[in-house]
Amino acid sequence: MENKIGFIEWMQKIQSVHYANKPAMERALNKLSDNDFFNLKHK
Amino acid sequence: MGVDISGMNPIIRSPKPEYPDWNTASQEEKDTYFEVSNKWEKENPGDYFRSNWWGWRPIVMLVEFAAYKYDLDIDLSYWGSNDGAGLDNQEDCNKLADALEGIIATQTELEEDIDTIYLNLGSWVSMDGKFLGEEINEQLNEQYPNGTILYGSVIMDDGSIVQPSHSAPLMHVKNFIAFLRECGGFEIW
Repeated sequence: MENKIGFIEWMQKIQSVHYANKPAMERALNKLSDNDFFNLKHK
Repeated sequence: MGVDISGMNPIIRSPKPEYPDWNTASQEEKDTYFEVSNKWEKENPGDYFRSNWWGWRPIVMLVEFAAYKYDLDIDLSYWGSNDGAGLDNQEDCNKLADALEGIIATQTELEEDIDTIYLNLGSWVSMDGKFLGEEINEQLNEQYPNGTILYGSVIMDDGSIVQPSHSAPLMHVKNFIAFLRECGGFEIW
């Protein structure tokens, strides 16, 4: 644990992109592409 | 908008107060219910935890950092959304509670319950909670890059006071820790 960076440095690296939101974002993008596919398929 | 988190197997010390009939209850009966209900929630912290997004994101950031710092084997996927993620056993909840307490004591300036941690995740508000214009927002993000941790507001050149939209007083984090200690696992909805 001693060699790990502190909260301030960690936050500077993480910035606003935090892991917890990433899957939700990916899923939203997937849904979007699914919808695009759906729309194309049913044109 | 935010998170509703119920304990899966909470420690319950007394029966939960029942809702009065809101259509027929007098104001006094409603006030009594809220008073009794607040007292019950304090005595049974593992039953339920709620937060708006602005207060939840800082908690998730602290959780993520705690997991990193203390090598916790926790899957944090979907903790930032209403998808039923969480922890399914008390042992992991206790480990996280211990880690969060360690982080607060050693990595933050939070001491008093009203002490507040502000995390700049890209959005700023005025003291009355109004969002700032895009130009001011960008200017502040340049001065305080995303990820900056603050423990107070920022005074602008014109004297106005602003702060990052994402913040959590220590009391809010402590409430979550108290929830963790007695919830028996939880799901985030």
